[in-house]
Amino acid sequence: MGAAERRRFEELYTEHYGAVSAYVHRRTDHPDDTADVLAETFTTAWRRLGDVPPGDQARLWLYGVARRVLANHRRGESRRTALAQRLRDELAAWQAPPAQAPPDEVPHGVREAFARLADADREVLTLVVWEELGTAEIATVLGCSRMAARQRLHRARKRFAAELKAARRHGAAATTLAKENA
Amino acid sequence: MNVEDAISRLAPAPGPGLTPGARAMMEEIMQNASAASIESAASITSAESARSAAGIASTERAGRAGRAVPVVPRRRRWRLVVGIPVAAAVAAAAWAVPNLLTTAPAAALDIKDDGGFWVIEVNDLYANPKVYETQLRNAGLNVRLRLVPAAPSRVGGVAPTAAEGQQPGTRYPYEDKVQTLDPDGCTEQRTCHIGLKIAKDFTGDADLLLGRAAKPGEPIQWGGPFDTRGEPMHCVPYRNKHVSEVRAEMGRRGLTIDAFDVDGKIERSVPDSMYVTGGYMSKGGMATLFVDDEPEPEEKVALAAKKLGCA
Repeated sequence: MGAAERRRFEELYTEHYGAVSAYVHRRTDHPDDTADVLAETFTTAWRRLGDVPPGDQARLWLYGVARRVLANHRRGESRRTALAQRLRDELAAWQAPPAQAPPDEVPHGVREAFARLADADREVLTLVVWEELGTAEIATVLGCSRMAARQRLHRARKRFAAELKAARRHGAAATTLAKENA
Repeated sequence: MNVEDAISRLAPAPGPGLTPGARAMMEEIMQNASAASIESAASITSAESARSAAGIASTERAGRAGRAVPVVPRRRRWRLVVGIPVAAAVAAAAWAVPNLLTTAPAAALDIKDDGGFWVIEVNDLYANPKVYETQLRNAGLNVRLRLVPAAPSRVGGVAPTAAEGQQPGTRYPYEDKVQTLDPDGCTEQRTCHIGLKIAKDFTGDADLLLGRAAKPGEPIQWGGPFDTRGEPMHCVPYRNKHVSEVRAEMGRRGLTIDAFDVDGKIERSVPDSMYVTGGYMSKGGMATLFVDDEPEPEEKVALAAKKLGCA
């Protein structure tokens, strides 16, 4: 790899690390997992630099790679890397500043409703809300047609809305019951 | 609380961003890439590979690595991709192979002077893009032209993208300079020349895609829903019918089923009792159907028919 490749990789890394690390961070529970997935994702990008599309498409390409690395990681199919010791330490020590921390008051039942969804539903919904992607971008990340992405999103929304509704009904019933018992 | 609001409240923190440790990792990767295992990352399931099809998923390298991720080809811009919902990744590799049988460059395109425009008609639909490019360059045009197998409504259509400087999500900036020969498109009733017009004062640089008819069974790279105007299932009441009924309906039109899309997953076969909710031409004469266990609400079907001008 020559100087031109190094420069291109540095640009790619500097520009997209923030987005990609947020994507990975939000989907991993342990700093070591976060670091492993990031190391593997960017190592893939370095080795396949010629395949990385230009501009903002690069970010979607990186999400696509990170997504597969994460999936392999969850299946226990990726190895721990020796890379990024310093990053591991930083991630372990890092605490979300108050402005970034998720709000405490997630209404009752929402978290559970979300957890009840299938992985595929959660995936499209979080790409829309957390990564702020549109359907065409999601299609690129998932490697499916735009129509399929739209349909998947539509169904996931519908299912989550139904779960939320059920959770609310359940919540209301629980409150009534508590009052009656009081 | 709506769905988006609920999910945004659940968003975990994004992490610390580009820290010194992250920068150190960048250096490590460049120095010592072999330390990390990447094989697992580069692999992709065959189902995904079959679907890595958002847009002209051209992997100009035909190698395994080149197909591993959803790619949009270099220089191809977003607007184009969004206009092209469905394509197969594999066929594109054919472009990378020099076509030794290609006839003399002069035969591939017919470039005529028509006042303010160059009128370009394609004589050889299957020539190597290099042949087109040379001929266009000789005419003073800095454009690249590729012919792609297209769904019926896109045959004769032109999709230009600026090679450089077009922001993702924006429209092609020179739409008035690059035009289709037949603005109404080519329908089943009418044949039309495959070609385009380029304004003589156009000095920009462009990648152009031109839709040609797909050969039977050839993967379609530029298409859309198969029930829009100009498509074979336009105004055919197929929605919410069982797979078996739609298969028969398609058979009467000389079409066969290529595959089924079940909630984003491509299946070769599904029970005949499933409901068809949509579809697209995925190969010449063959469609992929969206299917579901349950029918869609009737109001939705009626609204779709109205929108398509079939109500």
